[in-house]
Amino acid sequence: MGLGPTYSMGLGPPLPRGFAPFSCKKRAAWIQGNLEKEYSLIMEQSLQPAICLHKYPRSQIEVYVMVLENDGSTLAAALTCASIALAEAGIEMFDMVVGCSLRQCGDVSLLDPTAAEEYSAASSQAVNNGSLTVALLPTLNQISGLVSKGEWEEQTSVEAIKACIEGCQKLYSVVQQCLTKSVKRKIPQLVSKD
Amino acid sequence: MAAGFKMVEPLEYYRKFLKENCRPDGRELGEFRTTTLNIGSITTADGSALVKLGNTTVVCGIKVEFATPTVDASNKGYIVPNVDLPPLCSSRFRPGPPSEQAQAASQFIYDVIENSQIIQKEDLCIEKGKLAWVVYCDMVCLDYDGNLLDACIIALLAALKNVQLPAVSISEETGLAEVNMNQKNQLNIRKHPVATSFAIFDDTIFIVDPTAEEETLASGMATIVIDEEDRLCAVHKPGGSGLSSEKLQDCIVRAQTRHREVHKLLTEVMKSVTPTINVK
Repeated sequence: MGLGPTYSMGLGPPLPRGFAPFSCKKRAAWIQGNLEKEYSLIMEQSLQPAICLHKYPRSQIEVYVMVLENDGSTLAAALTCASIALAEAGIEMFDMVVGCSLRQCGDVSLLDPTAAEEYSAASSQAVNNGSLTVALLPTLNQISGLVSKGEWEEQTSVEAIKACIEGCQKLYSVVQQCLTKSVKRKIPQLVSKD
Repeated sequence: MAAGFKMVEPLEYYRKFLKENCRPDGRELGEFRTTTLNIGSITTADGSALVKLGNTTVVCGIKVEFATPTVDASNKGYIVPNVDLPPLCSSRFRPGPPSEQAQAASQFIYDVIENSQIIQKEDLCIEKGKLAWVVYCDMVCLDYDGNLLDACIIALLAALKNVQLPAVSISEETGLAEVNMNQKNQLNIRKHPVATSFAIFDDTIFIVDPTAEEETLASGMATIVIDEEDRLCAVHKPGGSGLSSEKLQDCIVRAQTRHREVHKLLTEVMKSVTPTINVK
């Protein structure tokens, strides 16, 4: 996938994002469905701004995500997961990417919905029935990806985005802890110094 | 210095260790890596298990569905194993259709199930000629560091033991299946086969539980599958250096010891999982 006009650089082919056959209530075949292709595209668009691609000219970074168990908010979890894996791999990044999703059902907002709470078009509510997934760069406070499904009123939609951003910021502290632990494990000499 | 030598002459580097009857990771020639087993972690699957053999990680998920039995096997259900080696487990696997290695592994697992009769297909029949269970066994490798087959067999066995099948009856009036989710039975696991894989170096030296690096340097591979009555279920020897009958005997003996080790681990893990439903 080319980015600049002079040299080709990019995240590579659309990230194959697989659902394991046993991950959903109904067994899924191994062939990539439309949902996987859609999610792969969204993930590529959301992760690309965070990575210092200019440091990897003429290279391809391949990110593979596999969902072992689907209990809702998989896109958000996959985004966070992929960005932590990239950081673990030592890929230079401007910022982490944290994902958070929300389900709106009338006046009720559910942050981080489970599979049972997820959006379905055939719901009782006519207005304000939808789902939202936000990919945030926490330190830069910029949104790199946003997926919204369903019908929203303008005000509700804005509030939902704000709620997701707050969710991402809270999740970011867990991500930081995780990465710090991993670094300490890899470099024991630094730990013994302090 | 050692790292440079290793890169330039990997086989020579290995031979230096083998001469002292040990391996670079400190193991003896007949020693297995630490085996870790975890079952029932995936709630969307009807049965699941995660096995770590050193760094090699395999997760097995079982999904059961209804199917109509074939006409020539009207009292039998189906078992469909599948091994997946996604690109995330190792850079040697590329995205796309299943590689030869994955297909060969799937066929091997199918043969082991058939030969050892872990489950008899007749047990999967609900109503002769009308309804039977099909058991999909999907093994996904999450981290490939050699010895895929051993890990897959342990994961498959543990996951099958973890499966709870709801009671099904065919209603007389409608002829449709009625599933009673409150009454669940375990699968009838008749045999517990365990696989032991060997890598052959220089036609003479056999090492057990090879890592990915050792597999690439080996001149041949062999896998022996033993069940709990110390009987041979399968011998998988795909090409490579020859295997003399004495060496085969040694391998079988090692495989029998390994079976006891794994069986102990399996029973311990099964005991720790409290069954909430009836056990047949």
